[in-house]
Amino acid sequence: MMHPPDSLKARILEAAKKNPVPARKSRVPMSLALAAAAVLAMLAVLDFFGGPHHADGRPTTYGSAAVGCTMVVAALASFTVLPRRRSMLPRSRAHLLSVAIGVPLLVGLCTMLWHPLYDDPFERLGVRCFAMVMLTAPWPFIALSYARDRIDPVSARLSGAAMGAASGAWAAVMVALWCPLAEPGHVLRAHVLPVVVLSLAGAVLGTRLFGLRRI
Amino acid sequence: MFAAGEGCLEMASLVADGDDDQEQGRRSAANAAMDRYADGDDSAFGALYDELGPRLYRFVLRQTRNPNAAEDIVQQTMMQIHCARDRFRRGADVLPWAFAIARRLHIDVVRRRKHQELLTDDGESHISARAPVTDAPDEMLYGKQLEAAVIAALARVPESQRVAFMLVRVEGLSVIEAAEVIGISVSAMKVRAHRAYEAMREALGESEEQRVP
Repeated sequence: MMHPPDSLKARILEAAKKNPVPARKSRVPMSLALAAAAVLAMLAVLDFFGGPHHADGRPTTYGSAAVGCTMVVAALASFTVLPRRRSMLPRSRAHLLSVAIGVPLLVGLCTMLWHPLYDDPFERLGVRCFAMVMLTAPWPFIALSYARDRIDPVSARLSGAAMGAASGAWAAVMVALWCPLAEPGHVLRAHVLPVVVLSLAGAVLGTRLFGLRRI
Repeated sequence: MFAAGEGCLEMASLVADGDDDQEQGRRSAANAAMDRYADGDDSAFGALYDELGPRLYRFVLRQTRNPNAAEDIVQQTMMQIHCARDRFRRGADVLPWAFAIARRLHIDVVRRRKHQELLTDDGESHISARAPVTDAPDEMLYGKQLEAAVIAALARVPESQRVAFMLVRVEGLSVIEAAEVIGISVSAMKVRAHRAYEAMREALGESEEQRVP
């Protein structure tokens, strides 16, 4: 018997009737509002840490290049995790994994690339950079999660990890605006490591946010 | 001239060689029903079940070989779709999504029940490949033998290849959609489906050779 029993349909319709779910509404206005709010929140964090003047000791050209490069990485990562047209399913696991692993490395590369071209104005361990990334990243994560909000039956954990990495990349843009240092040790500790942490945190959250819900 | 195994596959109707227009029509009906349901037309859920339910059931039953478990998974899949109606993307294809949910639920069930209790043989007798309809006793006998060979061959194929084969060759999903359902690249899906097809052909070829002296 390759056909389901007739009683199955009745059971399903009855169960759906007992658990009403509201109809679909457009999510675009709220997504845009959250994206705008995330940008404002990130700028507020940047301002809290003293604003972009903190990076005055770095040549403007290299600073712009680092910020621009990190922005491209963040935009590409966001594009990968956001929903596609005409599909309810995420990109392949390989895509998501490459974002989760590749984004922290690319973020670091965008800053370290310019290290041989100018002298860092000072040395720092990187505690404030680390803190700045961790305080900035939740806002784009919220905006991306809302825009992405749908169950992911294929790879919820990887979707979360990729989203954590994408959020970390946006936070890294703010840090690139603020921090003039390109010394590899500092960049790895204070710019790359927090994005890795965010990626792992995203993996944990991803299962809860995008995994199938118990019904 | 068909290779022996290929002939078997054709006869067993496992290869989705049906009318593409018909498949497209069914798919459009499912998408239209889902869009109506997401927009608030509660009565569309029944129509959505009519389009998805039997296909999901067949797909899951081939995995679990247990009708009760298959019913349970189909019910859960439909409820997941119901609960996500407010987040369903307008114009999205509901079929690959539904298969992906069913597959995930099946994986979760298998994981929960250690030692893969669902894959025991208790439900095997309920499975029937669509054997050719015929009145001739020898053809009927052959049909039954072929059916058993198909089931046995499917069971021998690794799970990942079996799912790939069923999505592409039985359920008529495109390679791109099937890749989305499993979460792998298109090229990896092609390899899996091809390997499964070769394994099935080989297994059924042996069956055909046994029949023809």
